[in-house]
Amino acid sequence: MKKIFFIGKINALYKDISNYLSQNFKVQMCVDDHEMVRGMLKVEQPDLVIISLVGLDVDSGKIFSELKFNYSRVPVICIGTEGEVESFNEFFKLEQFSLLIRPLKNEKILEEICTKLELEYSEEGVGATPEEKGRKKVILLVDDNAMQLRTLNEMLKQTYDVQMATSGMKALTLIGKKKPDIIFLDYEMPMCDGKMTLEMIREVEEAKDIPVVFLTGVNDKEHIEAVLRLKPAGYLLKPASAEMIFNTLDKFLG
Amino acid sequence: MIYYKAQIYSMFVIGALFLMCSFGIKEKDKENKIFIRILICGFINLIFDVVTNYTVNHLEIIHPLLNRIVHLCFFNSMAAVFTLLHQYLVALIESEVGRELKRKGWTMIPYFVFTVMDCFLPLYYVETENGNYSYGVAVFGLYACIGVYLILIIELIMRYQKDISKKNKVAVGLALASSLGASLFQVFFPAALTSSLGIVLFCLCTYMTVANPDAVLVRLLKEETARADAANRAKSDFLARMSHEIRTPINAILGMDEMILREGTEPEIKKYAHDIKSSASALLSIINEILDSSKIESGKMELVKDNYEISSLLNDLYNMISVRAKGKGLSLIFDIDPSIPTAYYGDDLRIRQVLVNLLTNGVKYTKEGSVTLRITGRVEGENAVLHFSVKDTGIGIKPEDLGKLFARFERIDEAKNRHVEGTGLGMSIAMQLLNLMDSELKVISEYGVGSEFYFELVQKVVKEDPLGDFHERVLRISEEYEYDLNYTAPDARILIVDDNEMNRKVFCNLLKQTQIRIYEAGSGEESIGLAGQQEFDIIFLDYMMPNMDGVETLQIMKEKKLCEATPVIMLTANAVVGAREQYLNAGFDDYLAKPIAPEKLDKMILQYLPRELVREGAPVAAEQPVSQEATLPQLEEFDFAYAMNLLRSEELLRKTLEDFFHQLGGLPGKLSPLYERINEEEQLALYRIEVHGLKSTAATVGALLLSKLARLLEVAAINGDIKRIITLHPVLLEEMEKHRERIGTMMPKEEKTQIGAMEEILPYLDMLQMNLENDDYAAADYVCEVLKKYQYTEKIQFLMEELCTQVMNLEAEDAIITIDKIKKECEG
Repeated sequence: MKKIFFIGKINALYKDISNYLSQNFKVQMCVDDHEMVRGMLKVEQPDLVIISLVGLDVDSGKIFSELKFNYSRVPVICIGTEGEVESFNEFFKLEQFSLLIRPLKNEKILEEICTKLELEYSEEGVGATPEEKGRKKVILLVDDNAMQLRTLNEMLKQTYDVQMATSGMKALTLIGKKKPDIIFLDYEMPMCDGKMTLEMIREVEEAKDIPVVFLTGVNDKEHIEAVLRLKPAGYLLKPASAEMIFNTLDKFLG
Repeated sequence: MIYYKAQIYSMFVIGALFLMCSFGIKEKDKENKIFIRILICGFINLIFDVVTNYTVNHLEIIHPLLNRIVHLCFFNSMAAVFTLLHQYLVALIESEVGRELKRKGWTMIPYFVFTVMDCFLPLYYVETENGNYSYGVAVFGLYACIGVYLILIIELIMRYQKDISKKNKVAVGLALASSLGASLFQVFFPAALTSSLGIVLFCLCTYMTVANPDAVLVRLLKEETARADAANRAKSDFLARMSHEIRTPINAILGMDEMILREGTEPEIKKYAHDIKSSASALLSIINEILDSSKIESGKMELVKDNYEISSLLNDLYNMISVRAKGKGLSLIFDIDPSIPTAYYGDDLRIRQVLVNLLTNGVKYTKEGSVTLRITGRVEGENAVLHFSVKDTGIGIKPEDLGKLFARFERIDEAKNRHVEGTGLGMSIAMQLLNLMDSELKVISEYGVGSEFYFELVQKVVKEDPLGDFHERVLRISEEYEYDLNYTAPDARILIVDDNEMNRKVFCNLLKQTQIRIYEAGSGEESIGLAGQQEFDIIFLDYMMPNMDGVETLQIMKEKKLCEATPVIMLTANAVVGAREQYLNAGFDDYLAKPIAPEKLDKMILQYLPRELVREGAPVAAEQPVSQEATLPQLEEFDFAYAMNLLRSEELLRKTLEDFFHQLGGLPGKLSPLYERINEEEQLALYRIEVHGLKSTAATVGALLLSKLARLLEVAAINGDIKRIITLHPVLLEEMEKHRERIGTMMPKEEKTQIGAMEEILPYLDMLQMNLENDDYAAADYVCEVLKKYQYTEKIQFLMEELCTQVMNLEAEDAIITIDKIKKECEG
């Protein structure tokens, strides 16, 4: 899915457009603060930017400049009334920026996006884009200990797309949203422990073949036998070193 | 009896041919053998021709059976000739085409059929005035057999007419025509008996054009040449491949070493790094010598001519040699005629190579005294005739050893000079290079006194201005040069594309001081992605990359019209001759050889960066933020070595410590309610899970004491040892607080800005809420960072900290509730 970065004041109109577009794109929202915009752009690396000009002040010119200088190849669609457009006229002379005058139907926005990104557009929706080459592999981390999750996340986020879940239930939700390529599962968790979580995962049709690696403390060796019956892809002892984790990832993700 | 005469002459001819073919060709290939067989059969045929002629005309005295037998032999040998003819053609075509033809086995069948049948076919004799001749179905059988083979031959020729070389076609054509002609004549005028003539003509033609010894030699020669060419090509490919394979790791060594030299602090380490540099550089030059020598040897060395300034050449030489000379206590003197022109057109790289060789040798073989480079010259029309001479006060060379001087790998006075390092190739390379430049290396030497090597070069003059005093000019250049090197370009953007992470690291470090923003891509595809997002001022593109190499990547960029105005520079370890033109043709603006010389890189950047972006002057020293320390400070009860072993990255450790700090802030709040009801099974289980978690996370940051403490409590909880828990829990709380304080001393002091109006943060809160609802913690973290920078009123400050902790702990639902609370506070 293509990524859209949507800048603007978060009001009803904004939310409406955002919900509409989320059906076909991954929409990242951001307020019209240029420091925030700058920081988030670096994190997000979007394919296209939309700016809602509602209530934007002249200061927002910095946002436009930022897009012009550092993201000159990313198309920008601005939505606003005739009056709102005026302050930023100089930018609309550039090819990068295009303009939609509101009020307008959401479909028009979708159409414009498809034109800019060269996607197929039909009544049913946006034509599926071919999987981008070199898509980052998705790793799901499940552990009730948030710090553990964060540590692993820091280690892995440069190379992989990391999803974090603090419980078995959350893990299932995330699996539904974005199918992971590998799952790291903590064994000791309250309420729904590692074993139960794995059983639940195995129930899900699309998820039953995903390799699952257990993370477990030394004492739990006796639990390991119970776990082995479920045939996890492997297990690592905690605390797991970066090396072990990367080796495991290489082994299962190639 | 003229017939007899014709036959006798023919027999002589065939006999001669036979002798020449049998004994004239030493290595007979298949075609020769068949040809000899043809000759033999032809000879036999001629004999029987004579014999049958006699028997036919003397039917009375000859026994009919004998007559019959003789005639059979005659027919058979003729059929044999045509069979062999066909075989010969087949062999010829096979050698032209290079493979065996199909249906070869069947070719002998008509011959055998005929042989068998002819014994039983009727034969009778006709009497005429001119002589008798044989006639009948048997004869027709012969004609039929011959006809079959002729048809086969013609079919072969038509099928393979493209494959047969012209010469062979002519030969075969002639031979066929003559034999066909003769055969047809025989058919219509049976009395003529011209078949033998046909055979002779055929053999002669074939011999003249194809089968004679000379032709065979020519063919063998062609094969040998082809084999030699293939071997040569294999050698060049090997050279080119090795060139890259060998230079790449050396590039890494030198590059990493450069980094140690630049960033190292301890003098001992830097000394080791210097040693590594000199050894690696020596290794590189040895390899270059070997590769050059091979190149010259296989005739692949070509001169690459360009405009050059002689002063820069001399300057480089001086810098290169003076260090060595000084090291040995020798004086290095450059005596340059001030009237020679400044710039020329030629291959300065090779001239440099020759002079380096001569000067280095001078230094090597001189124990005390001096090494002098003297250059004089005069202008003749467009060119300058330069006289170069390198004189030393060294050990000299004996007259009888002068021959050995230029031989490869040979050293003079081996015993005495064993300690001198080097490959022994230098002299021979220098000599061959000079030959390439239409010059010759000469030497005068006196053993024990010294040697002088000299040569003359004719170079086209590009700038006539006289050089002037070399030393003064050199000084000026080196000043300008150093001046330029102090530059910064903080707004410039450069993209480096190289699949080797090490190379990229080296590149970035070389340019660290210039503050240029460097973007990295590890593959052609990645670089295309980046180029699609923004413009760059220069792109450095590595040539050898897996999947998509440098040239392909550039092509695709051009096709997609990415970074059209950006200069693209190729990086290559494969510095083969002719490379520059190749790259320029492929669309590159320039190229840079690996290992990358820092000065060359700077020069190139200064050349291609737009003027406005470059600022002269040394970069402001130490622009690093205050909080960043070169090494981690010591923290009591924290074993960072242990932590680093797990995490492998200092940055990661710092971040993890920060997270741990926050966790320690929230943990007491979690543990206390559980502790208060520790007698209850459920609370005990939850308590156990919490301390189990603490045990791991404390270990990760190296807080081993804390980790062990947590473990004790975990075990106690497993065993249901409430008493123990009661004893240890307060200790745990205390230690957690202590550890938290210690980390606190390490954390950078945050400067908070006073918030203007609370409404300002409302949009951030909305953003944060949306991010949490979407499980986008990367974005949520970012918003929290921004929120933390502000100072709030006490109540809101408390809520904010709670919010941040909840985001830290990935507690999305609780965080959203807190956001609501904060919003209500703002409104209220």
